[in-house]
Amino acid sequence: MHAAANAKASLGSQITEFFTNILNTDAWPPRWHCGTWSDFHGWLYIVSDLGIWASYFAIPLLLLTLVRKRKDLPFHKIFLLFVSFILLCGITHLMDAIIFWWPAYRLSALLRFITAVVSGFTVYALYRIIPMAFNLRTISDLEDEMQKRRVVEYKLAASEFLLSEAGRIGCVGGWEFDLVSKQRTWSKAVYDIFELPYDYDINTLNFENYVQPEYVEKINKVLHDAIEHGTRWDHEVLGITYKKNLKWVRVTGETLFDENGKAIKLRGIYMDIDKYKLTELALNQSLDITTQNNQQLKNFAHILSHNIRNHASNMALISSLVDIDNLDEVNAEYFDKMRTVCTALNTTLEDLSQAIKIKNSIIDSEEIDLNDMVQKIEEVFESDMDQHKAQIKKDFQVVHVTFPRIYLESILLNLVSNAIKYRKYDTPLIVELKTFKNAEGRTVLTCNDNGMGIDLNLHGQKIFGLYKTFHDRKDAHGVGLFLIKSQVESQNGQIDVESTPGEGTTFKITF
Amino acid sequence: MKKISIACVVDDDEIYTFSVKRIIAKADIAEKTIFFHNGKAALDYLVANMRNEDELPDLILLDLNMPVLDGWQFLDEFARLAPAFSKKITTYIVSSSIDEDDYERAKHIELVSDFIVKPLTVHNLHDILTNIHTA
Repeated sequence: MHAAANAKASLGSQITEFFTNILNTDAWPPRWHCGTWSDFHGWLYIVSDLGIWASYFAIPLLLLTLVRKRKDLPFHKIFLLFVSFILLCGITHLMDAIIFWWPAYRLSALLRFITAVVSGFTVYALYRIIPMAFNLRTISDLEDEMQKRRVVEYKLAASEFLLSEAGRIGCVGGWEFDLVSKQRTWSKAVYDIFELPYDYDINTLNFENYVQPEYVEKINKVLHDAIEHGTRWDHEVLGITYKKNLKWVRVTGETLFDENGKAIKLRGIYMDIDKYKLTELALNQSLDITTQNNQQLKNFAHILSHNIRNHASNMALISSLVDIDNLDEVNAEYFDKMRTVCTALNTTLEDLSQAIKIKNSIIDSEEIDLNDMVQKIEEVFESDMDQHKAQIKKDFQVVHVTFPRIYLESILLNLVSNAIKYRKYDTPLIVELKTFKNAEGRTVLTCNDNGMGIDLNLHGQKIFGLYKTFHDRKDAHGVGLFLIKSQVESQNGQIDVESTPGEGTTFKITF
Repeated sequence: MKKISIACVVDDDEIYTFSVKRIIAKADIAEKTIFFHNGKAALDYLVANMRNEDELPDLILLDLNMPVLDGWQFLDEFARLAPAFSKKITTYIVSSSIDEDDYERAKHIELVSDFIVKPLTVHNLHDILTNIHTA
């Protein structure tokens, strides 16, 4: 009856009535008296509700403790929602148990309503985070990742070690200068290069104390250009180390800009090039000296081929004018000797100028058939060879060689003529000419004779010197072997000699 | 063989000119020999007598290394003027140079008949005379 009458009242007055009498229990009997409860049924209900409440009260406490201690747990807020949702669920069960004695059904309804609202939020929040929760890495994911990171770290450490070792051994170090904070960062190798202790505060040092004064201005300009125009640089400077040693250092650098085009950093490398630079300087110096000497030699050659020859030819000219018949016997003999000297002088000058010419001129190579060439040589020496019962044996594994024709001709002529000149007078001369490819694939020509031989222990490599003669023979000029060596070497070849006195000589030309 | 009328020696070396005067006399190839001690003096003379056939030489024996105007410079100028001369003038280089480059350079000058390496001999002069007549 009462409920029916209430149902007819307006919603507003119903709500007002609800909240005004929120704790009023007049309208209902305690639940024990509502319907028929056996003691067992009622207490089962009550004890179960209290049990649920106790648990639902404990769970939030535990969750809160967890949340407070583990600030890093993801979805912090959802935990708090869970806490309130479970707490409220517990309270509704507690309320259910209390209603057995205190039938505050309005309060119970309000509590259930609040629980429903919080539950609704929890469902919504949970729905929102589920996709994110799927992406949460599992423990094994994390372990995998940690393992990967350990591997990467290990590799990083290894390569950092290699890099710093390479820097240490190669004496190359990196440097960086932050234009904003004015801080320097150097790798260890740079400390090594400048012989600085590793704990030295590099931000306090003044670079002007670490280079020779003549470089200071240049470096300032380079830095200015780098900051203003982003110009890269790569220079060699003579540095002064912390221990006041001089050291050649190569320094390179470049500029880093921020997105607004403002220079923010300079960085580059330092390299210890002392060893190489000193060698280079020494090399340049000796090159200068050599060039100078070479120039002097050329001048000398010029004097030789013009001035001295001029005098020598005048002497020859005048001596050709002298009428020997009108001289007395003694003077005629003197003069005859004078003429001989004169001719010899001109010949010597001619030889010398020929030797010089080889050093100065570049001659084109061509492919030469050795059989043809040797045949020509044999023709030149035909009468000599017949007279001395000499013969030339040929064994050419390589028939064609590429070489300047006049040089090869001169080489063969000289070698054969030497062999004839220095033959053994009691044995027929045999000259063996051979060619073959050596291990490096280069063509080798050997000329072997059974002549007098040369005592190499005595004369050694001097035999290729100019005006060296080793036999007491009138027609030994001492020019031939010098010429051959010059001609071979002008084509990047090599000439060697082996000889045993009394048995013969072998010349070996490697093209 | 018929002698040429004028031989001309261009050389700065006094000893050479002293002896070459006698060699030419000995070889007996020219009626008259004129001497200049550099290219400029010779060229001035030639220009001055450009149309005067009687005073122009038949043969020039030219040295290369000389002061003022050397043999090469003389040849440059001479080659430019040669067509204007009223007489064909044969030119030989007579030099103490045995430089291959000098020889090659001379070979490429059309005006130069040959390159004779000093000392100049009577035999050389006779060859020259033969060449002049056969040319």
